[in-house]
Amino acid sequence: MKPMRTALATFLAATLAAGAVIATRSSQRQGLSPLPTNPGATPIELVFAQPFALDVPYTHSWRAEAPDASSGWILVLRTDPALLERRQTAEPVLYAGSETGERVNNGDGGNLVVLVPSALGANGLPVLDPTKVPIWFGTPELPERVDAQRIASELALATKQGVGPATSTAIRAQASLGTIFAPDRGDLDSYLADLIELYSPTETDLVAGLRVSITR
Amino acid sequence: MIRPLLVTPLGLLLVSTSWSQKTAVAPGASAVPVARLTRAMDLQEDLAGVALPEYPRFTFTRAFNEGSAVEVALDTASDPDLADRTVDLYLMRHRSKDDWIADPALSDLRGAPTTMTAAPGGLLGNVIVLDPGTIPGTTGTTEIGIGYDVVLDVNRDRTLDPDDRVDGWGDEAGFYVVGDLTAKGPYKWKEVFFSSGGGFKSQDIYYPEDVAQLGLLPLIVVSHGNGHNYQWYDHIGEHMASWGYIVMSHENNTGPGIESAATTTLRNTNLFLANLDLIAGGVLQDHVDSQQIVWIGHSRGGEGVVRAYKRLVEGDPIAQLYTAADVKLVSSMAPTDFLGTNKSNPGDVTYHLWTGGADDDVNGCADCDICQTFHLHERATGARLSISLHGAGHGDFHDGGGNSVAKGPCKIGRPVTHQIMRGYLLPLVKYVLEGNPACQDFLWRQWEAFHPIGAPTSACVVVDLMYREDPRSETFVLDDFQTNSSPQVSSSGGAVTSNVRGLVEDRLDDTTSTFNPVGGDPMNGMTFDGPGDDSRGIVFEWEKSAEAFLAFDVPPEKRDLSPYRYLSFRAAQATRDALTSSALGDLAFSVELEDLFGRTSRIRIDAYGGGIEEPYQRSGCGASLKGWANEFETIRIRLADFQAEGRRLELRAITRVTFLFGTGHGSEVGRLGLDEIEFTID
Repeated sequence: MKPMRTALATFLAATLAAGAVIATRSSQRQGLSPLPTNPGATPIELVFAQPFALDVPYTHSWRAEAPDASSGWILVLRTDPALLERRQTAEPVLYAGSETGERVNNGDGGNLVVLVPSALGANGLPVLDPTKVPIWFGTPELPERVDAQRIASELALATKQGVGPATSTAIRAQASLGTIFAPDRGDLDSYLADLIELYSPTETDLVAGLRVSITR
Repeated sequence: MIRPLLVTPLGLLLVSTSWSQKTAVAPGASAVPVARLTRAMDLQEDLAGVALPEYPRFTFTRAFNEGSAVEVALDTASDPDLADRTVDLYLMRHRSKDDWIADPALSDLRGAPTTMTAAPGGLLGNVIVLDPGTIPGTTGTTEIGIGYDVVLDVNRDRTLDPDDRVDGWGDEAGFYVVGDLTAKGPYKWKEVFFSSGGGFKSQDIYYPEDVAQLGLLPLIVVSHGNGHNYQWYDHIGEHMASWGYIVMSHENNTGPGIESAATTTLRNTNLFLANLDLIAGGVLQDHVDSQQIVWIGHSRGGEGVVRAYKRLVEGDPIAQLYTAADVKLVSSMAPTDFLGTNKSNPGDVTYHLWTGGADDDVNGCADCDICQTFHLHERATGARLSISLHGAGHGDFHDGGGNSVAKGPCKIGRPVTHQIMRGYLLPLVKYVLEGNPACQDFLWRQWEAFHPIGAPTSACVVVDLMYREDPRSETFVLDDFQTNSSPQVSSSGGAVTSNVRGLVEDRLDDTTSTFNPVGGDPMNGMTFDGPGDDSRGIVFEWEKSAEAFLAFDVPPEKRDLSPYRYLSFRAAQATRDALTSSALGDLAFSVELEDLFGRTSRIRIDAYGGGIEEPYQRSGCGASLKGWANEFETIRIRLADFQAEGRRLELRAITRVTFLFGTGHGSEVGRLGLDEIEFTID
């Protein structure tokens, strides 16, 4: 765990020095924002990307096949907070190329921490390149009902609509972060908690909840 | 006191048991008992209750709030031999039959009995305040309600003997006085966190601080909703732990969907039971009753617990340390319905539902089957209950702060919602798990007339309750509209006649996408059915100046209703209908029973306080008009109330149940949904 925290601290300092915009508290509304009619058309900025690798895989339950995942990308996406607003009815499903993304936080201020599984290539990095594949929110649905065929049709639809890779002006600054290695998803969650604290600081309960240490 | 002598094919021969035949004893004198008490004797007589402003003028109730007056009525019209007779009324702590037999001496808690001479002519003048609200109901333990008996010492011999009557002759007390159910219980509680790793396996656990000194305690599991957090249910955890429950709220994987959420509920329940040696240093070991489990879920998690139960019934391998039989209650707060009737179905478990009228997420609108909370409730085949709160938003059911996710007038917000939740959840769980009789009244009596002491009572607090006993518990369903789809034939096979206007029997499902009434959608505002569901009922209306009726004949083989205690039905006003909007407010009507001899007895439903509530006046779900989904309320009327004031209605030969509407019977106009007309044992 210690190396990960060091890396994050370094990144945190760099980000703050660069004057990055940290999420602000959403206004205290009473109702729910209307769901955008075309979620795919909402611009998404990729503000953070870091590979991860685990010794013990976890279940990627955000697609119907529920595959085991032991590597992939940690992403932070910035977009319209209304698009990210959590709801109990179907939410727009997040896609990255031919994979679905797992929403780790709510993204209250517009910054969403995401896990995208991807096998490691020969170079030791995930095969999926988040700076080159389209990243978009597709048709509202329960992700656990989205299978490979559905992903393909959503990708075709997004491509037809002109969805491309997320803008990523700030991403180069993190190129040196390297892969996060963790024994299992529980340890990775602690790292994700740090990221949420940085990018979505109002989500304090989520951060605290993820940091509960394993009882032994 | 009329007792049957003989039942003949022609009718009933009746004989009067006269009080005057019994031995009269001078006041204060000791008497020779007529006979020894035995368990087989039936000395039960309902005595304690509350006075009503109109017929039946008095109703006998099971529970009183601490501080409320306890009244007693002697009905000299029904028992003419009591007229002009002086009797003593004793207020005593409840005794079992065996205790009474062992010690029949009477000793009033107040120091002396109340002596009264009953006036002839009925209940008027014969209602007395037995206690103005001084007797305690707070036990200082986890038991809810202190049981009391009322003894009518007819011969005034200061001894219970076969001449006398007891309200409370049996296991159940005559009545219970109940303390503030919204207040914390007797235990201090502790809160600890437990995690067995990543992947939604962290838990927030509440338990009584003295758990080591306690025996096995029931387990309440809380499964949060999408975007919510497992630390957001302190209002449930702290309250229920203080009352002797162990509460575990867990991380819930709701983002992917309902199956994932259900998996998390199943897994975390198992993880908790498997790790009792680790949690809180093992203090819970041997103190969790794994056969007394309650599952509570919120929104997606509310559907998730129902889906989890269905999977449990089907043998999901995740559950190694408990079975479906161990889950005694499933309760959903504002649940979604993604998976439909085949998968999200509570089956025969006791099921309970919370609905917020101002919910802006699972909002119940006609255009969204996923958002209609009542689907799961209607699929429950066992006992089922529901509580609807006007003005409560989706986020008001948790304590995570922020947006209430509420839209509509008169929002009640989080603190008010939580206070109602505390006061209702406790008796719900106590009643389902322990059968606590003092709790039952809180689950069905009109909120306006009876609710927990500490529950808020502002004008915006409007609460509607539905209550249905387990159909397997010897109920007689007169008409639930599930069979015999003709409006002229009830599901029990009897004829149905009426002169109401526009009577339609159909699925309780608004077939349009709005709550605005349009032609061809008689079930406007009904949100009980999703695709594949078939919960049915009727709607109809009446207008001013016309007396309207709807009569259900009781099939001959079902006419003996004497085993039953209540006539029960549920009704709802039709939202946005001109007849509803023109007289916005509680709607009332009358119910009449008729016996084989043509004798009738009629009761207005609002005699007990409150009628059928108007729909929550929220706009949206169709332009311009106000009024949200139709909210059914269950009305239960004691059958004995139809016999008050000496009405000689023969409950063993009831031929017809008639609902009467219009001037003289209640609201002058209205459009009503009606369903589940049945007779219940309790």
